[in-house]
Amino acid sequence: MAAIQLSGVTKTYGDVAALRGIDLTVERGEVFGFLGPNGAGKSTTIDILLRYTHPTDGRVEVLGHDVATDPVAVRRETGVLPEGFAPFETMTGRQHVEYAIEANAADDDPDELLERVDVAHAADRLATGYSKGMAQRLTLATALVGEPDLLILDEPSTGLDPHGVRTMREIVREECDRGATVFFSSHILEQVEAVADRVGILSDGQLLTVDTIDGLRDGVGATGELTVTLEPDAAGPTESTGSPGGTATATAPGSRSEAAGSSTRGSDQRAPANPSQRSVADPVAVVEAIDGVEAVRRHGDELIVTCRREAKLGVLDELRDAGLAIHDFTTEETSLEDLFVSYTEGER
Amino acid sequence: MSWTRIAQKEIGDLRRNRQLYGMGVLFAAMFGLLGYVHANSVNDGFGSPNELIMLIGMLGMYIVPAVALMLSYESIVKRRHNGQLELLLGFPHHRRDVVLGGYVGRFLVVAAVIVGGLWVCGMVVVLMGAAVPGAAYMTFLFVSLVLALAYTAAGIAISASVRSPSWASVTTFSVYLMFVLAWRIVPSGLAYLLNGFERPATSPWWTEYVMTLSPNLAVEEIFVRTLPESTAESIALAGSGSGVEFAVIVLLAWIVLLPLAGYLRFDRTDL
Repeated sequence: MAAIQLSGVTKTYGDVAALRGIDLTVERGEVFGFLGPNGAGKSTTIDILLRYTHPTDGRVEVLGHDVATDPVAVRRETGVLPEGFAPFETMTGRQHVEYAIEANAADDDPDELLERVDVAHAADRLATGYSKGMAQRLTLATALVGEPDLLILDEPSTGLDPHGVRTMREIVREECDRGATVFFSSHILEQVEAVADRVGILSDGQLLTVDTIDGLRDGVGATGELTVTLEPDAAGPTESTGSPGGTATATAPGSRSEAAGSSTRGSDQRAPANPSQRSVADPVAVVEAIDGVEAVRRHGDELIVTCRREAKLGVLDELRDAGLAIHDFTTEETSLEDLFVSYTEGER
Repeated sequence: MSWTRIAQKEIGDLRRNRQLYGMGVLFAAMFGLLGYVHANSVNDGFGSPNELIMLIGMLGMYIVPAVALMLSYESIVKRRHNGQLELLLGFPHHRRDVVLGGYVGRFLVVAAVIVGGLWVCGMVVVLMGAAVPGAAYMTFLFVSLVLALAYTAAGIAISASVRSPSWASVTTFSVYLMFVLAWRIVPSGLAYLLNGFERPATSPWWTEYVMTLSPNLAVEEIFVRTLPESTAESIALAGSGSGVEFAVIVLLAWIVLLPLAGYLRFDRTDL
């Protein structure tokens, strides 16, 4: 039995289609990140899971219960952090947690929960006076009441400071370790990346893909950037402007790098120019020959290589083998941001 | 019984935000003042015990619906608007529990305020040495509670049916104007319209039934018919003339059908 099962869920508001047929299964015990730009339909989907909103068509099951006919059973086994909620205006933080404990017929210790989300210091203040981030923490505490089998968190990091974000992340991990399923939406990619086992990308009411983060990367081809800084003496003079002879400036043969797809025009001016200082090998040529390398740019001592992830190590090895001394290198993964853009803009 | 928890929360909310006490003090002051005025005039040799019923009746028929509506019309729509309902429904509650709990909780608060006010009034009268007509007084208390229940039902129904708090206020105010202040002239106005903008020679048979559709007049009908005849004559209330049975049916419809309709609409719409 899946934790969440959506089949053919649509939602239209008048002429506007908010969801156009969502099929999604979230397995028990996983942390599922629900990603999408603003207005993609994330909150609508979550509202449908909780029966706050009724789907136009389709079937929704949460923890084996039909949401349409048995919302209370769903809510009993689910902890909810909704979006755009307000705390009860007459209750303190502690009273909120106490109410949640009563309503769930649970036996948690309110202080322990408040401690866990770090609002214990404000437990006896009216929750309407809380900042957005504190209200968010408080509601996370009420969502944790009764050890729910499923946590549904709609944009959980809204209004949280970095420390709060970390607390939230830790709690998600702990709950997952306890055996709970966590379903959360976000448009902040690093946060999804940090905790989610699987990710679903929603855009314009359609689920574009569901995969692990690694799977997503591989899916887009996932090229990364490797910046290698070479030892200056190995790479020859870096800027040709200072060369004393003044003769061999711009276009030294064999050092052209415009073959690289995205190379800048200025790159050939920075080629090793002084013939008197003999290079062991031309690094650009070396790197270009490697399988999986898409582009090479030379920028002073720096060699900027755009290549597939698995080719990075090869680049370093080949450079060393060619007798070039590597001073330093940095590597950058395709950010989830890029992935996200490439999925949601329909480039694929 | 999840609705009882919501009812408790409603009562708790009205206590914590002091509306319960505010209304309680207001009612106690107004009814206490009437008791004082009445006892004074009796002590001065004017007035009969039944005039007390007359006095509090005149006040009660206007202020009880006002308070019942005031304390109920926001209960759902305000929370729906500000997002508290999303929090509340994250707990194991059904939307039915929200309507029923709100209805019962708010009514109990209105009832407490009415009982308190009438108790203070009775105490003032007795302490000043005048008599309280016991049976009529208790009957009045009973019909006041029924009246409060009917208007609380209307308030909850409005609160569950509309989405915006400002619409809820407008609708609630219209209900008050229509059924509390204007209803006495509605049947004859309707007869005038249906008769081609002329005053009919005799009132059509249905006027008294239409008249009874307002809880105020239904309650008045029940009140007048159940009082001892001597008392009924001495207070200037006519009732609607439709008979007690019809009045009971009308009140039941207000008390049961309106919240039910409100709930059904609430349940079918998105939060």
